[in-house]
Amino acid sequence: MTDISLRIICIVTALVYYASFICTFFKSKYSGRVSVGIWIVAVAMNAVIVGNNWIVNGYMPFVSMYQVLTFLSLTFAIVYIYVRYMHSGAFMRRYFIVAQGVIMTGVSCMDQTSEWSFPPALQSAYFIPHVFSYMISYSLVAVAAILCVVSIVKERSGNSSELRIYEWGMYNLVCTAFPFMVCGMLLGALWANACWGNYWSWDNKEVWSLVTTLALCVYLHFRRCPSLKKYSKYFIIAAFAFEIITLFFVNMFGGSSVHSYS
Amino acid sequence: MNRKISFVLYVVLAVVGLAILVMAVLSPSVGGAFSGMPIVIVLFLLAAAIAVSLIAFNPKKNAYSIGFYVLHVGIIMFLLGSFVFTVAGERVNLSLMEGDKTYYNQVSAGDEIIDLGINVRLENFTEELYDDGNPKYYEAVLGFYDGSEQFSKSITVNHPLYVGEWKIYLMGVSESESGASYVSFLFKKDGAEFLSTSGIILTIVGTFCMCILKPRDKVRYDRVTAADSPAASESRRGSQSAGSGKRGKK
Repeated sequence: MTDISLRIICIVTALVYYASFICTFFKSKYSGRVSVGIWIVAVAMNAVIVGNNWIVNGYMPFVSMYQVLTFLSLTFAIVYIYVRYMHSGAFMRRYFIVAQGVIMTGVSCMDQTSEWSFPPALQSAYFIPHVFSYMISYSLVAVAAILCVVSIVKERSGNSSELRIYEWGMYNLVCTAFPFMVCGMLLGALWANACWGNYWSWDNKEVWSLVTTLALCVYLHFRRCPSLKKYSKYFIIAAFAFEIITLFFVNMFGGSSVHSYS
Repeated sequence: MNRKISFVLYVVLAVVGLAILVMAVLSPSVGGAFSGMPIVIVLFLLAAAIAVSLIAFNPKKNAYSIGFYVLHVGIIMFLLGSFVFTVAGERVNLSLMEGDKTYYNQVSAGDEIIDLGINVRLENFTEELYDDGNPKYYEAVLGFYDGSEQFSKSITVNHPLYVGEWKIYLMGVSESESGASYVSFLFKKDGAEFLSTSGIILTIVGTFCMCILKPRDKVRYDRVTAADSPAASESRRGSQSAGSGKRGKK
C-alpha cells in the first residue's frame, strides 16, 4: 500500500470510530447494534493497517511511533473485549471507541512510512512482550482516566449508584493495567541488562514511565486508606498525563535517548 | 511500633529522594545525582522501609496475600541486588580495533587501571547493513588466552558472553578520524545478578497475583453492577411505575 492510500485509510478509520461513538448516544432500539457493527468495521480497517505494517516489515510493527499507535488503537479493541466479559464493562464501550478515534486521528497526521529498519538492539525476545504489555496498560489507563473525568463531571448530579459503577470500573481497569505496566517496565529492565549490561540507566523515557507506574501505585495504595481514598482518583488522571509525556513529549523534547526509535 | 518505624523510614526516604532531585536540578550532570552513594542510600532505605512494612502488614491468607508477599519480597531482592552491584560491581568499557591482533588484559577506567585477569583480542567482526545504511546485524569473535590455552567465542548484541567472572556485551561499532573501525565492548562483574533478576521476576509474578487474582473485588464489582447498573435502575423504575399504575387503577 502506498503512503497516500494508508493515510486515507487512517482518516476513514478515525471517522468510522467517531461514527460508532456518536451512535452510542442514540436511545433507539437498534442504535447499540448499529454502533457495534460500525465499530467492528473500524476495528477491521485498523487491523488491515497493522497487518500491512507487519507484512511490509516482516516483524511485529512496533518500531516507529506510527506503527506503535496503530497497534495501540487495535489493542483497545482487544482490551475492551476482555473488560466487557471479565468485568461487566459494556458501559465503557463508548470511552474505548472515542479513545481509538482520537488515536487514529493522531495517526492520520503522522508520517505513514511503513518500512523501517530493525536495529540489532531491538532484535530481542523481550521486544514484543515489553511493548505489548505497555500497549495494554496504556489503553486501560487512558479509558480509566476518561471514566475518572466523566465521574468528576457527574459528581454534580449526585447519582451515587452511577458514581459507584464508575469508581469500580476505574478500579478494575487500573487493577488490570498496573501489572502489565509493571511487567512492561521490568521486562524492559531485563532486556536492558541483556543488551547494555544495565537494568536501569535513568533515561528520560524510563524515568517518566517509572513516574507513571508510581502514580498508579499511589492510586492503589491511597484507595486502600479510608482517609485518602477521596484523593485517589486524581492519580489516575495524573498517570494518564504522565503516560502522554512518556509516549509523546519525551521523544519530542527529551534529547538523546536509548528509546529514540520508539 | 513497626508501622511507626516504617513511617519514619518513608519520611527519611522522601527527604533523601527530594535532596537527590534538587541535586539533579542544580547539578549540570544529571546522571551524577542518580548514581553512586546517593542512590545507594535511597535503595537501602527503600528496601528497609518495604521490609518493615511487610512485617507490619498482615493480610488475610489468600491468593492476594501470596501476591502481596511475593511482590514486596521481589522488590526488596531487586533493590538489594542493585545495592550490592552499586557497592561492589564493576563495569569497564573496552574498544578493540578491527584487524588488531594484540591481546589486551588491562583497561584504563578514569584514573585507575583495571586488570581483566584474562587476555582478550578481536579476531573477527561482521556487520550487515540495511539498504538505507542503518545497522542490521553485528557479530564479533573474541579470542581469549588465559595463560595456558587459547579459545575463541562469538558474541552478538543482546546475547552477552560469560568468560570467567566477566559478562561481556557487544555495544556497537564506531569509526575514528583515521578511518579505523573500533568495536566497543562492555565488561561487567555483578555478583548479585541472580538476586536482581529473581527479584524482577518475583515482582512481576506478585503484581499479577495481587491485581488479577482478586476474586473478592470482582464479586463486589459484580454486586454493584448487578444492583446499580443503569439497566437495573431502569427496570426498578419500570416496576415501580407499573406498581403505582396498578394502585392508581384500584
